[in-house]
Parts: sequence; structure tokens; C-alpha cells
Amino acid sequence: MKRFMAIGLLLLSAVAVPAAASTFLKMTQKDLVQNSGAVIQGQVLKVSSFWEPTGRIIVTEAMVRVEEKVYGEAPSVVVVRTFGGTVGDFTVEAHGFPTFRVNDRLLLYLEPEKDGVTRVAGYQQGQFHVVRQGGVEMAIPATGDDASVVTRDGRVAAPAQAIRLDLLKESIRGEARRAGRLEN
Amino acid sequence: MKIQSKVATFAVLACLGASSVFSYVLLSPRRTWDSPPTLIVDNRGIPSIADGDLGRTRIRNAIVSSSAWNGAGTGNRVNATVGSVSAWRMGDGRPMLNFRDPVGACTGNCLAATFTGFFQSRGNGTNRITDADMVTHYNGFDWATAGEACSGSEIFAEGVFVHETGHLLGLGHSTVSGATMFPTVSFCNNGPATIEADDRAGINDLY
Repeated sequence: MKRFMAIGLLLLSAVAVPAAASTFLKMTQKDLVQNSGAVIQGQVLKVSSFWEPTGRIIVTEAMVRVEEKVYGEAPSVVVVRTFGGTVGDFTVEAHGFPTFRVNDRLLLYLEPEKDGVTRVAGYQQGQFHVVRQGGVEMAIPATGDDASVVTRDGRVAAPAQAIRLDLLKESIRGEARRAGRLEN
Repeated sequence: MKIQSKVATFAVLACLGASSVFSYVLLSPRRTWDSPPTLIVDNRGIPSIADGDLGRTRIRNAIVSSSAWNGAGTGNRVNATVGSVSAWRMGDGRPMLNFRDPVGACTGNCLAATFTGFFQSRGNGTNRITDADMVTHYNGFDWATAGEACSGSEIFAEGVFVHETGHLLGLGHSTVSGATMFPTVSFCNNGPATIEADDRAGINDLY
């Protein structure tokens, strides 16, 4: 009976998940690589939120220590900016945007730096959480149910799946090679 | 034990069955506007929309249409007017749809972004929304409105903004394919401009 109560609780929690959205074009691995200047694996050291200078919106910056450059060039510590965050009593929820927490281990597709700011390419589609499961490092997509997706072919977008981290890196490097961004 | 198992299995299946009928999700924590908000739709319009009005009137009309949230059966839920959004900012209590994205939040593969988070407790376990705003990647896609021909890569604006307005009102996503609040849409599909039974149930639960 406890087992069924647990299933019931699981179902209840499943329908209670918070969700909202912005709308994004579904990106392929090729799109993500083409839109990124580098892909890195790293760990979040610090997160800070502040009102952007015009006072229109709150942004959040994460300081990420780069542990590995999967492809492309990146400094040893990269500051990644996203929209949304909390400052004092004010919270801006930026649905479908990347979020960061201190100590998160991440794989990030990074847009080329622009105006001194680096952002995640593809929003949540370019962010994976690195988690060790059963002795294997897995890349868990950050995409949740808070992003609406537009697909080119009219098909319902399949949820992104967890993938072995080494296989994801191999796939990224393969795409970068095909795009002429990585030597053999 | 067998009877218990069957009852429990039936309960689980009943839950699954019910969720396949109505699968709307509300923002968490649950929140509502005290009175229908008036969304200001950017009077500059979207240049790629070839309806002679840059889409502004059709987008405004779609948001307040009786085929959308105002036709759910519980009275008007949202008002909209075309006007200046030069004062766009979060937290000012004036919901705005800014096609030009003054903060550069929606670029690359982002079509439209909705920002929420401004709400306060009413002190009785419910929450009052005080602001929500949207921006659009106006020059990154081929936007169109109803009636325009679709060559295969146009994004129909009415569907996108009726969906985003659902979030502004306090709704999350539905798992019912074809619902306005379903999180996937395709090029040339303006279906989300018209709400479905699941959307109606969600908005009527909220208000």
C-alpha cells in the first residue's frame, strides 16, 4: 500500500510543478554549435543578481570556473549572464532562460562575447547539468516545461533526454569539426 | 491486499485519465490579477507583418478576442490597447508587449519572452499579480498574422501572443496537444490563437 501512496504522491507532485514560458525555436546540435563560440564544462563559483543599468529588468551573472573546453576558446573563469533573478524584495521570473546555482556542475554552449557579456547559446537548450549517476557522468538537459518550442517540421518537440557526458562531448566535437571549427 | 491493489491501480489510472482530459497547470505559487489587466501593445508593430498595419491591431484584437481568454465564460479577463511602450520596465504595474526588446533579452532562437514574478500576498493564501511584461525578437523571424500566406517559415503572431498572455494571466503549460497552452507550435500554425477546453478550464479555475 505504501508503494501506491508513493505513486500517488509522485503524481500529485507531477501536476504541481511550476511552469510558464517564453517561446523559442527548437535547436539542433548543429544549430547550437553554429551559434556558440565555445562549449565548456565547469562549476558555478558565484551567482549575483542586480538591476541592469536602465532599471528595466533584473539580470543574473554566474561566475563559472572552466574545467574543460570541449571546443573553442574560453578563459579559466567565465562570467555568464542571464535574465531574471531576485534583488531584495523583487523577483523577475524569466521563463525558459538559463538559471544558475552555486556549485552547479554544467556543460554550457557559450555565445561569442558581445559588449563584454557572455550568454548561453540557445537559452536552456544550451545548458546541461553534469551529474554522476551509477558511476557514469551524465548530461541532464536544463530544458524544463517552462519553455515553449517552435518546431520547423510541425512535429511535437520530443523532450530532451539525458545523455552520457562523454557521448555529448563527442557529438559536439564532431559537429564542430564538420563546421570547420575544430581540427581533426 | 488484492482489492487494495486494484483500488490503488484504479485510482492511479483515474488520475492519469483525468489529467489527459484537463492538464492545465497554474503558475506556482498560484496568482491572479485583482481586475483584468490592460496590456499595452507596442504601436510600432512588427515590420515583417504584411497586413498593412504591422500586425499591431490584429495582435491586440487576438488577445482580447472572444475566441481567446475573454471567451472562456467568466467575463473579460484581459484588456489590451495599442500604444507607446517606451516606458517598458518590470515592476511598474503597467503590463506591456514591447516588440523591440529594449533590454536585449530575447535574441537568437528566442521568439518572445514573458517576464513575471511581480506578485504579492493578499494575506489569505492567495497572491495578487502586480505586473508582467513581454518582449519579442521582432527582426529575427518572419512574423505574420492571420490571412497572410505562409511559405513554410512564418510565425503567426496571434497564436504566440495569446499563448504568452495566458502566462501573463497566471497559466503554465498544458500537456493537451492543440491547447493554446501546449508548449509546442509549428511554423504557419495559428491554432493557439483560439483557446480550447483545457485552456478554458485553466482560466476558469484561476478566475
